[in-house]
Amino acid sequence: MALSKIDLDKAGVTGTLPTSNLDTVGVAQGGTGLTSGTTDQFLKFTGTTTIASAADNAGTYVKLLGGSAGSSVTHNIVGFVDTSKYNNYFIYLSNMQGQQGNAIDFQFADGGGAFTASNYWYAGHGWRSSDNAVNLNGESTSQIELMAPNDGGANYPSCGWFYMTINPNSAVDGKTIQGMSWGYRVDVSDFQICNVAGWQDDTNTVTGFTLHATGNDATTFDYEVYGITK
Amino acid sequence: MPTYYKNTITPEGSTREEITGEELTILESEIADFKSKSGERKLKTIKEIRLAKLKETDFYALGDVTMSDAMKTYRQNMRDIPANHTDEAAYDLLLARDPSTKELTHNVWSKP
Repeated sequence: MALSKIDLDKAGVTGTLPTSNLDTVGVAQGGTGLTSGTTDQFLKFTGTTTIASAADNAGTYVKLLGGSAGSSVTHNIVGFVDTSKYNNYFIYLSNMQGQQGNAIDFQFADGGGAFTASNYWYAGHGWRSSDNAVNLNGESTSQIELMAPNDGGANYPSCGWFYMTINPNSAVDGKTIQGMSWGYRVDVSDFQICNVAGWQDDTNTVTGFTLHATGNDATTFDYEVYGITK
Repeated sequence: MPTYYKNTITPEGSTREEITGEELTILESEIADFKSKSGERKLKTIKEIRLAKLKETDFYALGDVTMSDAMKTYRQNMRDIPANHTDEAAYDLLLARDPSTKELTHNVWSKP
């Protein structure tokens, strides 16, 4: 009778496989064969039996910046745009204080500061808790009014968020923002919320944005900037 | 003159520096322009409030509803606000609110 199968357990076979044979031995689930790795990276599949590693920030929403902006009139938040990875960015501003019923203006920017040419177009609409409308608008202006309804006395922090799009594939200068802000406005003593969208008619290279307190009160806020992976 | 600052925040870190030179000149011009339009902004807010209050009572103008003389006067007084209240001090009075109730206190807003 031909020998078709050897039960190694019943045969009591013991010993160590030669190293030269290891490449052909099946590896149990979880075996990686890795002998080294980079700190803070994750393992990932590659489509074959080989496993590789990847940076831990390679998610859908990648945090690019975060922190607290100290008291200033102008805040240039730049250097985070990477058009090879992201077309859209999510920016969240919280705990904003220091506005006195004035607008927070938005401008696209690079390392040299804000782009201030009169080529911004924007519109916004909101509502107040006292049942009145808030309207923002401008054509060929030098900025976008992003957060007009907010007012941050020391005890009334306000918040806002917006998406910023820097899409180099756009046929019509694809630099836009859209977002929402809300807060307590001391001068008319009510709560307000506002949606706003804006566009810049320019082909300049943008690496970030500038927030500017129109009324020139020093503002402070916490910020988070995320890139949304293409 | 007050001192103004600007923050520059990048993935590499942040800096805070005083605004000087031409940038300061532009900023101060903006400040002056913004302050000069304070009354204009207040009047805009007043008109937004007025519009909401006129809408509240528009139904009195329907054919099957009778509008009282008091209501006609109330609505006309609100329409006349820009003519009868022409400076920023007047706008401040129109926007004044009761500290506890938050209600507008000027009698032009008092609905009959």
